[in-house]
Amino acid sequence: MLEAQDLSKTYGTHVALHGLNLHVPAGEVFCLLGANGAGKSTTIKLFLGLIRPTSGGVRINGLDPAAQPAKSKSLIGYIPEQVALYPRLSGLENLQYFASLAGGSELNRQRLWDALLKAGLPEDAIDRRVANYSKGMRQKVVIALAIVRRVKALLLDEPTSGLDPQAAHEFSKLLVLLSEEGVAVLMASHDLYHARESATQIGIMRQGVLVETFPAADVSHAELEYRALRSMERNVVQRMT
Amino acid sequence: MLRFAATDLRREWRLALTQPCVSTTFVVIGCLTMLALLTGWLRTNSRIERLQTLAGENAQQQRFVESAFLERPSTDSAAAELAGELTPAEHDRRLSLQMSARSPDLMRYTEGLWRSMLPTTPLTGLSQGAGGEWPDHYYHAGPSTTQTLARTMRPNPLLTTMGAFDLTLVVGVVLPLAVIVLTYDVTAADRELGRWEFVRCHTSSIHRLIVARCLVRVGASSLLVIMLTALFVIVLPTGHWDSAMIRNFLIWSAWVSAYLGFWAALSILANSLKLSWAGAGLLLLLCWCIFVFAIPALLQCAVNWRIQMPRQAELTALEEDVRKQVEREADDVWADFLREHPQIEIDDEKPQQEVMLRDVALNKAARSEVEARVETYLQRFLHREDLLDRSQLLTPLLAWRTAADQSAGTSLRHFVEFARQTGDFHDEHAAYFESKSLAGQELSFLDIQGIPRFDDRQFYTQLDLSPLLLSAASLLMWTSVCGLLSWWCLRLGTIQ
Repeated sequence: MLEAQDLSKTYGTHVALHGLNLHVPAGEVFCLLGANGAGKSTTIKLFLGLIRPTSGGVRINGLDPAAQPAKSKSLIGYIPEQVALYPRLSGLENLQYFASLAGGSELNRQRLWDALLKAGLPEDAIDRRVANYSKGMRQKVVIALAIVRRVKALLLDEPTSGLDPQAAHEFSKLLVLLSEEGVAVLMASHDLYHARESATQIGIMRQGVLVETFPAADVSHAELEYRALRSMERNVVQRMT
Repeated sequence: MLRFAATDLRREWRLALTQPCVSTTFVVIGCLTMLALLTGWLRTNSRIERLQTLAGENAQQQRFVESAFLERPSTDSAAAELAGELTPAEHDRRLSLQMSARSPDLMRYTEGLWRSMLPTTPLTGLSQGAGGEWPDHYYHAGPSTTQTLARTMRPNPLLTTMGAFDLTLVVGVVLPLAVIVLTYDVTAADRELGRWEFVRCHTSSIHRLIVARCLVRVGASSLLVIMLTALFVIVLPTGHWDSAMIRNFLIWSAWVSAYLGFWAALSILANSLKLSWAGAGLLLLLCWCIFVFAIPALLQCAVNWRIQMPRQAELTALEEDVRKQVEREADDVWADFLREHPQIEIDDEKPQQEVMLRDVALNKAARSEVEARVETYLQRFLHREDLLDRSQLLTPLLAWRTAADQSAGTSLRHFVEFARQTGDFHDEHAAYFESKSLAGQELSFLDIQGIPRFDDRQFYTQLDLSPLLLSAASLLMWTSVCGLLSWWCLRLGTIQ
């Protein structure tokens, strides 16, 4: 579903991503772990078509986002680190707005309502202004958007940062639910616990390079922590030298 | 297009309504429009009242003249009937008119007979037009030709952007400012609140999104102004509606939309650049200052320098000079007059006949000389208008004002046309009496009833296509330039 082939991105002389090869099939949750500046967010933005690759390319269900932006965007959902919705609209109205923006057609109110409930938004919050929502609630609106749009792939950039453990756990469950429905999930995160809880595959990135990938189920939490820290330490040492 | 209207515009309209500055701006636009319409209506209404007063006075003068032809007892009874209502001045006027009533020469030169005014239309109040002071009275039967041009000139009225408060000022100057307030941050706000990437990854066309956001706000403003104006001019009685008026109103509405369309295109351009909300706002304000103040002010200086407008004192002096000149050459003028009218036979036993005919000859000569010079002034007006027409391409504000004045019937061209029509009527009126004067006839009751009347209705339907087309070309050109630049900016990816 999500594929990157020899993907590179440079900003001037700075290499943000170098020769990334990645494949996330339908139903898989792939978590990219790494220190700040490792290239995780750049990878997500390349898949979203927000930036152009320097070399190589990405494919979403076989489509190139640069060549076919409309079709490829219709297949993917995106959850940014800071979910900034329109604060004066309610959760339902925000969902209606972005669903219309994505699809261009008016969606049934009941269907939107059901999607919000399925995403775990409390019923009494659906018609309330988003200005009063917590981060977790705003994320649920965006998850509901992915449900309504029936996306094939979901891209997440640090989705659990700032969430309390309970909210992060609920979020992980939602991701698992979506992957069970055949959605391919690519997630960039710092949260090792959450990564192991929700991901099926984990990749560790360092200085724009995907250094290793392994199934989440094959490592214990301690081992994952060790690998990630080792990667980050190397990163820090290399930067210092 | 339909899908764009049904989905994009509808979606963005809902979003716009939740922004507090949007609803506040709509309220301000509505209030200013109502205020401008109210002042326009008051102005028009006062002219309607003056027209009605004139019509009453004209009818009264007609009665005064006709009363001279009634049988003695009837005259007395008519006089008695009138006497109760008449002021001393009106009483004197009645006596004067009764005494002049049978003489074509006296009637020909009696001042203040059957005066007329530029007619009002339902759209008159929409624009102050070429000048606030339109000539009040046209003395068709008066001796002065230049009275037709008696009006207080304002310096280059089309370019006077901060003139009297009218709807042209509101639409031309204030509404663009409102458009800027409504649209300067349609992308910048999203960018600065960290929402832009999320928005971008949901839409296939950023350009379409920006266009929808700007168009919906500008379209609503435009619709609000047009609807309020339509309601106002239809509900309040400011003249009669006919197909020409409806056409003019539709033109006015189309030009309001086109003018605001230009400002929308400018906003789209500002939003297509990678600017902060402050940067976009400042850029738009700078454009507003340039298009609304700087360019018109420069044009005003240039046009005033190139073509001077005649002043009333200058026109009066001209007429006096011509009269003095004709009086100096009185014998030659009289000889020419006799050659032109060989049928005239001077009876030596009636010396007053020669005095009267000499007077006819001198006045005719003076008038033809004054008319020729007045025509050069009118040509100067028109030349100035042509210059202004070409200047429309330099700023959309001028294009808008030209179209507004054209559709409201208050342009300088309308004034010139009316001046010419009045001049023609003056000639027609003089010729009516002159033929009887030359034939040595006394006026009869039927002659008085057959005096030609000025038909001001023919004035209504005038609409000059060339300035309107130039105005449309100017608006189209500026809007296209902004549209193309924004499209180019988006293609270059400046918005990212």
